[in-house]
Amino acid sequence: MNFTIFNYTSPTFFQPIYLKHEIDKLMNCKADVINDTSRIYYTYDIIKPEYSIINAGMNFGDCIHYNRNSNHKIKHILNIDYLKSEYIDSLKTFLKDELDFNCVLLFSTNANHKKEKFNTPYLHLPNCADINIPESSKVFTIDKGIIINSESEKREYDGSHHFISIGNPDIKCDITANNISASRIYKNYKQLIFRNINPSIIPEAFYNALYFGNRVYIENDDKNDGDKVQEILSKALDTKVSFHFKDNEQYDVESVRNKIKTKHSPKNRLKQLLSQLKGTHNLLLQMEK
Amino acid sequence: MKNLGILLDMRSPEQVLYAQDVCEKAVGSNNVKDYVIFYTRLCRLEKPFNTSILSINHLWSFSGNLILLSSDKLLEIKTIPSNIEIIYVPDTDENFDALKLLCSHANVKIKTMRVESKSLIDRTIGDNIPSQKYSSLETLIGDIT
Repeated sequence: MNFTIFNYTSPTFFQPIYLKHEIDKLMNCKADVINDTSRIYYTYDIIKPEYSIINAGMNFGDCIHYNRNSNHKIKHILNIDYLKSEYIDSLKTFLKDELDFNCVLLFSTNANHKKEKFNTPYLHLPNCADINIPESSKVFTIDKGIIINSESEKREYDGSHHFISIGNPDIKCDITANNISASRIYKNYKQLIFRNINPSIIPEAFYNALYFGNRVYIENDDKNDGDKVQEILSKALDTKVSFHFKDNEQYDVESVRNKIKTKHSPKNRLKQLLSQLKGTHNLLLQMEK
Repeated sequence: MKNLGILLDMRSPEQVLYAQDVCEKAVGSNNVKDYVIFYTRLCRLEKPFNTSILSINHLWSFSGNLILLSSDKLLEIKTIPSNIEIIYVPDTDENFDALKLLCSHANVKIKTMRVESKSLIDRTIGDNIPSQKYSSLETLIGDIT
């Protein structure tokens, strides 16, 4: 079974890359990551995908054109991660009107999208740790790494510490990195503290930190948000560990890491995605082995 | 007695002033065999240096203490197999990069005269690289040489 994935990777979101990697591991299955939709006829005619994963922010006029004029109708899977809430209604209308787009599934990592009523099946596919990133050796020791979203989130901390911005070079801080390069330095910090995590999207960087780093904590200025994040993590990791930085719980890093590996890896996310698609039973059986 | 080199970005007026200060102090020191300026980017100076000025590439034939005023070229310098002891002075570095220092800490020492630089170093470098604060340039150079 062939897939195409139109690349919607960003410095903080590597979902297309890890999905491709997992699909390629399956027998008789291949995924091609394509940069844009500008050569859609060439891409679809050569690859002949069963399913094509595309982001809602992309220009898919040509995808509709292709399906209208081709006998081999491509089934599109639409990722709506970057879609702003004000455009959701336009998307609903679009999906209702443009049947030639042949959208079989919508999915996103944003829990807020679960509340929306789409005419097309919707899947909430949370972020996960990209465990395919090669591990780096430890080269220095710093007490804390504080992952911030804006300069106003900086405050005084004890001991040596770095303020780290993931994916935003405009923030003045000690280190700016994308998810992959950040994952490769997490090991050097005794504690990683994520400031103000949005409970509706637990970021990929957080899961990566749980897998690659030592102890990881959350620190939200809004207590309600912090409690919601804690609740989500308790359920997701099936643990009573408090991830609040103020509690400073010395939890077992290895058991959390194992949970991430077994429940929140790219393989789990691909399974979730395939389970919503027709004709993927054999692939799912293959993944169970 | 050892050679003293100063590596700077000549387009940074602060670094040029600092290096000229170091050169003046080094002239009077009996512990300095020879001193030389290495530059990363060259430009015309109002007040010339009273010593030789060489491109960074000439570091391959240099041995001795090297005062680094900018961490930009730190990783490149670490690849030079000659006998160079690196002393990084962050006081005039506008592009301070903690990660670069931490990833190349084998033979680097950090020396500073500014309180702000010292607290930045303590916060971002911790115990990974030895660092020291000095009250004057004379004591700093005296300690290096």
